[in-house]
Amino acid sequence: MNRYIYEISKDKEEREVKNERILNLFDTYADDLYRFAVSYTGSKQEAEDIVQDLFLKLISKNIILGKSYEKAYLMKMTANLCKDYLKAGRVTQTASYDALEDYLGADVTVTGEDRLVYDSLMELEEAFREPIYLHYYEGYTYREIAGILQISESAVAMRISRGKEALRKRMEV
Amino acid sequence: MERRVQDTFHKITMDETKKEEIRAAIGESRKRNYTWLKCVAGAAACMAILLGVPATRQAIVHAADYVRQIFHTADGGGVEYESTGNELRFSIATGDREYVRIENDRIYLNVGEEKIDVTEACGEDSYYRYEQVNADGSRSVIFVGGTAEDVGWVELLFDADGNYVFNQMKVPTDEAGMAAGWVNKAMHAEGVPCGDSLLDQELEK
Repeated sequence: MNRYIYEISKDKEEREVKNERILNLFDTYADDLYRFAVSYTGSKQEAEDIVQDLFLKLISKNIILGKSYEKAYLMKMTANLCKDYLKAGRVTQTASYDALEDYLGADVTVTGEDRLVYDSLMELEEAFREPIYLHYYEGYTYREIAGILQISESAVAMRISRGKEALRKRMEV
Repeated sequence: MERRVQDTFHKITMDETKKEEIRAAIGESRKRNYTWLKCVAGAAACMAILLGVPATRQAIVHAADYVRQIFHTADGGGVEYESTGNELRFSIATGDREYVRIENDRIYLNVGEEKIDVTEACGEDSYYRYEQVNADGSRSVIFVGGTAEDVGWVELLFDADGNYVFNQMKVPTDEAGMAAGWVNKAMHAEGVPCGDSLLDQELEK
């Protein structure tokens, strides 16, 4: 029989340091994770919930992230949560850019081009959309995308190639 | 193409009001999230069994009432609460018995003298539920879920009044530390917070 002893530390200073670290992560990456979740689910509401869920998980699991890989790790967690949300049927329909537009900042000028690019991308199958987004917007390499989406590098290359073609056709219509 | 995607998505940012809500939720969670210091684990520290006392204010209050009270798990282990000044100590002994056994691709739950074939009830999102009531009125609820390749189990302990006091689990997780779907589903069905904010919010209603 193995015996473990857990003690509840009430060290205020330690708690505050951790609190600060999580909040810093949120302030640094909230928009990036939100955009990624929007591109994945097509839903503003679900994307917000996913980002909130992610940070509460970080806290509950007491996960400590190294600087060098923190963003990639958060992106991977976001991808997993998006998959869970889609699988659970929490995302019922993919909204068009019009549905998103109302919530953009007051200083943002929306163009017809934005609508075309967004709606064209969201019309792509999820399998093509995510690698395209991560490559074009985030600038990740095929290898990094493979790690985030947990698929092979060759699958990433194939999906980006086919997705790019499909996107181009949609945008030309 | 790259520039067009960048220009479009750069304009998409999270609503500031929502950001404030999340910051507040993070702050609130931190207040309730105590730091667990694991010690005296010795050579057993590498075991894949996770042990957890619910880190909620309510549970801590319950725990404070159980000064030196012992709860027994179905595998012969147990948890002992002890209040020591400004700290609460949870001394947890894990049993030697493995609840789950795979034989010929069938999943069996072993509790006491019982050996139950739970294969049909188990899947990626489904589980088998077993409950054992102890002489003192406390209850041990065991869930077995997953497939023969990635089976796992969760045990929840409740006191005689039905308050959740402890869990131990051995469940597979992915690289991001996420447990299989059946784990959250089972804990939620039992009215126990599982770390999924959406499900946990439902419990608070």
